Amino acid sequence: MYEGVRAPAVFNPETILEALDVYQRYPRSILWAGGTTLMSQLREYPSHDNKDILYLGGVSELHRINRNERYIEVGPMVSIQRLLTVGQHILHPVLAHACKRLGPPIIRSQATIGGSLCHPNLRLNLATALMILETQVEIKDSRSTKSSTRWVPIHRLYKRDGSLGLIHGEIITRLRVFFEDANFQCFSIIGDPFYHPETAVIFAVFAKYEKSTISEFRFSLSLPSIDIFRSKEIEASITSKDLPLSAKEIIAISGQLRELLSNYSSKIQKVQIERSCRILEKTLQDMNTKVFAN
Amino acid sequence: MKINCLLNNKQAFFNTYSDKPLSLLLTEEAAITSLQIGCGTGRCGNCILLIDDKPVLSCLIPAFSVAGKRILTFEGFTKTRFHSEIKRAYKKHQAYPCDQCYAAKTLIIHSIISDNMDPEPEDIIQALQVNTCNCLNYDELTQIVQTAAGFRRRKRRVRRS
Repeated sequence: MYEGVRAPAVFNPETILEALDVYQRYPRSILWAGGTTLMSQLREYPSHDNKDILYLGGVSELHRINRNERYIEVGPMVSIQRLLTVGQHILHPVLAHACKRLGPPIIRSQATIGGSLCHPNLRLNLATALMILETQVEIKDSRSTKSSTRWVPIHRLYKRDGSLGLIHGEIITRLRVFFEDANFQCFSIIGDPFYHPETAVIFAVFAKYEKSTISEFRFSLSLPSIDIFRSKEIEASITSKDLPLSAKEIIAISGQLRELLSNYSSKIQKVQIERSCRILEKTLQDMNTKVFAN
Repeated sequence: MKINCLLNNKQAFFNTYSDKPLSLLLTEEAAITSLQIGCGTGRCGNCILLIDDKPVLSCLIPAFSVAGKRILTFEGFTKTRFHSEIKRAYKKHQAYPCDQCYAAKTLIIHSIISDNMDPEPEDIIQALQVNTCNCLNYDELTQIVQTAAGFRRRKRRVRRS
């Protein structure tokens, strides 16, 4: 049944340096984190694309979670479920919600943060939530003789066309999420981003207001198979507005988003634009409701 | 690739393809019949087994990652003392999962009550969402889990005393 099939070689490093070394020598190997996405895309076995595997599960440094007063640092091999359990009292609600919406606990225990961020074609929950939290990512490069390290904001992980910006030879080794107070946080998903990414929309909001004036408003909108959209223009137009926002203001903001999305990419479907606008309107109305409730 | 592991409390040795899904490995090379390979992509949730006492979807686990691990399939689970509690709970409510998902649902229920012997309905529903078979509704499943948890609590009290 499996005659002529070549089984991929599996490298199982125990330290980051070892992993970088193997990656430098076998740059075409696949980085394997939790493997949930890679395995679920395996339509049939054996597959014809049997590249060698660099399994990161044995690298203990990538499983660490550290925290201090300012931030929490998480290794990319930490499972989503472990992040939720360890950080249940300290995680931003928007991030906790994004983790919970990733799937049932059994899937969350298998899926890892790094795997979720580095999906080659899909921008899923975590990337959307971490984007508005302005997370920093540590990347190590195995290509130079001395391994180099750099910290970049998470949006730099992705190219302008939405594809993954990591070059062959680079590995994510840490994520740093800063603690920050917010008056309003929200995370929503419409559609099925994993199986029907062409119509789904993921939306995250982080807002601060003093008295009744919005002092900061950040939002990110993932069109899973295209890119994560963030508009400084819309954020700036909402910031410094007084709450509650009038119906006229909400419609104007939604109209602005519709126009930007229409010109953003030809790949965006009409249903995604409609969903994005509706979800932004609803979020702004929810923010109004919260202000009234207080 | 040579893989050594503990399968249903017995040493097992496989000489297999490194990236072969565990569900295929066990059905083809270890003659495990309780595993239902439905979608093969993690959607149906019928291929659940326990690795180091944690439930996993075996179709999403590659063979190389189970080296040195303890694997318990439904066959192995039926020989443990925990199975009878869940069987009694099914009987009490006269509600049984269908043949397709019996093994998976039973192992999920076991993992729920192993984590928390007084689980909230919300936690139960969330954990059981991984199995998409609709043969039992969530009300029935919640009652079954809570009854099985009650049996386990009682058994633990008796053992302690």
